[in-house]
Amino acid sequence: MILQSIQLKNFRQYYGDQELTFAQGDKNITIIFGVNGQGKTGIFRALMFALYGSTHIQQDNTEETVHLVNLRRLEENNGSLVTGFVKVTFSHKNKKYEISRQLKAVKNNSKIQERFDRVELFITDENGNYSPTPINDPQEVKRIMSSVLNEDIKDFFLFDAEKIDTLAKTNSQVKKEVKSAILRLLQIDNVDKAQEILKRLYTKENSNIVSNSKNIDISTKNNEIYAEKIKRESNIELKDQIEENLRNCKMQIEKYNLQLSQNAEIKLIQDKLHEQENQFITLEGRISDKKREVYRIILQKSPFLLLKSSFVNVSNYLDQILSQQENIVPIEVIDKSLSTKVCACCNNNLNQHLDNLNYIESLKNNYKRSLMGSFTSSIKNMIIDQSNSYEENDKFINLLLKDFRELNKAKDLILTQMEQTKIEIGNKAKSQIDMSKIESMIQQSKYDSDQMHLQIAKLKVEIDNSEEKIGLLEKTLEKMMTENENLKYDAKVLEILGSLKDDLKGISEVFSTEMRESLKESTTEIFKTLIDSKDRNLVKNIEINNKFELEIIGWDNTEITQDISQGQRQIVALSFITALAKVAAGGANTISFPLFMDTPFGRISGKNRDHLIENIPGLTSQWILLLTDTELTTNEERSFKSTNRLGKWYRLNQQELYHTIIEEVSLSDTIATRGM
Amino acid sequence: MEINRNLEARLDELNPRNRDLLKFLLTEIENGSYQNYIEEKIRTEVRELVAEEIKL
Repeated sequence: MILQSIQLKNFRQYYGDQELTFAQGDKNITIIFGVNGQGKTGIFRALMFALYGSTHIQQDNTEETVHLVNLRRLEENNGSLVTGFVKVTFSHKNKKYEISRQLKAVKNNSKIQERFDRVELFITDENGNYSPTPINDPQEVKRIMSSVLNEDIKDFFLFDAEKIDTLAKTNSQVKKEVKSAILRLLQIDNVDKAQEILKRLYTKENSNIVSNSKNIDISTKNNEIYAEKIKRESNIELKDQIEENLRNCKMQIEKYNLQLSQNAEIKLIQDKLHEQENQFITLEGRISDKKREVYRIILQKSPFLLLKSSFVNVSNYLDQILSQQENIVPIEVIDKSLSTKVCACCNNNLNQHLDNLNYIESLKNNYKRSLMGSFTSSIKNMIIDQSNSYEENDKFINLLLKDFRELNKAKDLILTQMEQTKIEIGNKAKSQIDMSKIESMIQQSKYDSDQMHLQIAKLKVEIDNSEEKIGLLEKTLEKMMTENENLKYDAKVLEILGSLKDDLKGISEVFSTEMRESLKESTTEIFKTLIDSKDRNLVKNIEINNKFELEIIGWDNTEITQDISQGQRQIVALSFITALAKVAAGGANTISFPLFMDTPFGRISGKNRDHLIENIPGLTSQWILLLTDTELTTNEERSFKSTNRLGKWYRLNQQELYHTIIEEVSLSDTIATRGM
Repeated sequence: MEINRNLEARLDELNPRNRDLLKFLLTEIENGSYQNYIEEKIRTEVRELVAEEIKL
């Protein structure tokens, strides 16, 4: 499918007639650039509306009405009918298609009524034959469009940002979509349908022959086949039921394991609490030691610190005493002078010089005080010593007190942390049940699961045996019929139907495995091309398991589907889409469908964007991008231009509300408005 | 749409009669034909083939 052009008239933001053509061939990139709200998604909607009649796209709430006819035109024509129209031309397998859909709408005051009007499809065949009458039966158009690009898988090629985001998720809905896309695009579902048709046809033919034969042996053999078939069907039903139970059981085990891992989390938090408690005990010990040291030092040093001001006075007083004692005469001299009544110093007769006698007697009296001299000196020395170390002691005590305060602070912090940890444990524990109970439930579920595996294996053997028995019985029946002249013709018919059935069964098994393998290889290969080189080794393989689900296997063979980033998962989604189309096209180098993407780069890193820009044009026949200003900065513009694959370049220019014009931009011009 | 190339390659390994019948069946399914119609067409085709074979 190659998209050629799209024409819009009064559709969404596009007032009046607008048209754009899509790039193809060597230069296969078309960029439609517009800031948010200017009508990029309007073009995507127009495409989906024209091709499939879709009024809603992935990002819409389907319960709400989306008005498709241009609101400005409706406002101008209040009360009158306005026509909205989209025409898309495309080619597919040498045929040219022109599909258009029309809507009618009317606005009465604030109420808008909109209805689908008509669809027209013109096809020009490979020889240029053109039908002048359009196909306008919606069912027939739907059938033809499905044969070009099936509606079930269209979202894998024509998608909005929401879709790529969705595809990057791993929930059951996405798994289902991926599976149905694989089955559909690779036609595995057709093989299944064909098998059903042949089985039904065979059974019908067989019943007819048997009832017409009126032969007891044939009837008996047929009844035998019928009984075996009933047995087989009931075993299949039972196996399906057990498989369903097994899936539930596995989910239950996962749930229990999750609870256990949450318990493991509690264990980790408890360890944290123990550690905090140990820290608390150590801190308490250190605080106690520090306290003792503080007491000791304070008792030792603080009196002197407290007496600092008194020391000055005491020191002065002691100085005074000492200075008074500087002139003191030795006691021997005093005693001699008093006993001889002659001054030993000046030889004055003391009997004659009573003043001198009184003075010497006063010296004698002072003699007691002179005994305190050494004591006074020692006090004085102590005061000097303490005064000299005062600063040092003050500093030391302050330091001790600071340490003490900090240790107490650390203790308070640990206490708060311990309280928080206890709350954390409480919260986690609230949702928990007894751990040993969970362990025993896991054991029970594992036992059940093993039993179910055994039952399934046993049933598979029984089903295979039944299949074989039915096959043999059918062959015997066919032989009996062939030997019966009257049934020769019918038996031959049955034989052919039987061989068709067998051939298809054989093909189905091989084909399905083969397709999964090809898809796996192709997805991995494309992923490795598209992903940034630094992440290339992060993923070893992208597997498609036997349930057709995507599984991302890391470099160490562990499944990392849930562990990679959203951006990386988007690259996986893109790789898968491209691989799917390539495998569907029988391994062609480029996919035969356009990749139409509305704002796809949102979550993709700069380097990955560059890789996509460099490689996608070589993987697909057409790449049509609706890009906003944050996705198309000067960096991306440079990358696009350097591919030399850029074919068409449009800018959406909003003139006024609900009036956007599509402007074609010269490829040599600059369009990006950011990153200058 | 055409039959998937890989599937077609597998069909080509069958005997020509079964190959053609299965290709026809799968093409009709791919083109969205009704199942009853397909069933009837296959029955008719097979019957015609057998009739011819018996004549021969």
